[in-house]
Amino acid sequence: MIKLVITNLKTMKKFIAFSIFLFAFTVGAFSQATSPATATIIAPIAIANTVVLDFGAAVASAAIGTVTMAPDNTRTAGGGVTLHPSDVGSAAVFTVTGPPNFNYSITLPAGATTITDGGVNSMTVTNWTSNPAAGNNGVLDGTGNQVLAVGARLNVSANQVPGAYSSQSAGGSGPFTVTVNYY
Amino acid sequence: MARINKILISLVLLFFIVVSRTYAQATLPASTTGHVIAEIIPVFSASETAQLNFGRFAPGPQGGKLILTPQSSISVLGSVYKGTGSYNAASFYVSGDVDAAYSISLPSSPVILTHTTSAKTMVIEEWFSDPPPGIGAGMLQNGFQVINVGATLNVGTMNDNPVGIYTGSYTITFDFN
Repeated sequence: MIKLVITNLKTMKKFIAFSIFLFAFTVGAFSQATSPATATIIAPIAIANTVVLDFGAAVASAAIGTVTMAPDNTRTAGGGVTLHPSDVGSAAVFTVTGPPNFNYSITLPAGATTITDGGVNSMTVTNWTSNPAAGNNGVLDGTGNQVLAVGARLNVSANQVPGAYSSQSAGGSGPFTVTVNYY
Repeated sequence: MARINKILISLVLLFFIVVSRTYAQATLPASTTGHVIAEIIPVFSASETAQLNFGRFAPGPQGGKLILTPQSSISVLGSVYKGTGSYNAASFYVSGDVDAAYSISLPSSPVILTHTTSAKTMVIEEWFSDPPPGIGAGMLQNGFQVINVGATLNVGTMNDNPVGIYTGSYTITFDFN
């Protein structure tokens, strides 16, 4: 560049003009390019589990029955099952984070999760529900957060053997999966 | 100019690459997992592990009382003579869920003991328990609890209560709800 100044002033002027133009364009181009790339907009959606789905304590009987945990922590029994007040359980809680005010979809498990007592006894968990409901119903708030509560139905066999059952126990199906996505 | 165009095109391409990358990141779904737990608890149960036993005694001329505490100590009022031998409060073993609370109800009306070979009777009243009766009085801290029960036995005169064995039954209710 210094060499150009010494040998040809005209060329240098052109070059300077071009440089300024390029510089201006570059600034403009980067300004445009970085705008959609700010952290706020490209932040990926994230979800984390903070509370396990706990059906609490229940007493089985000779008749089959169910324990249903609603997303709002309301617990109801069906069939031959009696709820026990010593452990009222809780719905699962997930925290969803992403850009403020973004809409997102919620996908709950389609099938059953099996929980066991670590031995031969097991129960299945089906009929998943959530608040917000599954589908395109998630809306992140102004700070990019939303609490997603998930409930389900526990299917209790006749004379279900007493014990502590978990999806983590041997023979269990492992945890259930909740998926969120922008739409 | 060709060079400028080249640079322009490059910049425009760069711009599109940045933009398209942005959208590619935004549409990635996120999944996580959660565990499920539940507890099936045994049906609440209670059983008598020791019978209420006032032991041996002899009625006096005016009658009196034997007071047996839940701690199995006995005291005598009136003309009753305590004999030798064992006596003890009743004991019940209650099992259920850990930390389950329950209520204890003792007999509200006197319980009658009947002489095994005659129609003569004695009356038990003033029931006591440890823990005391009431709603939520019992607590299965480790999934079980022992409840001791005592009472007062009214003993009549020698004519009212001839020698022999007197038996009867009473009901104590442990309410799980």
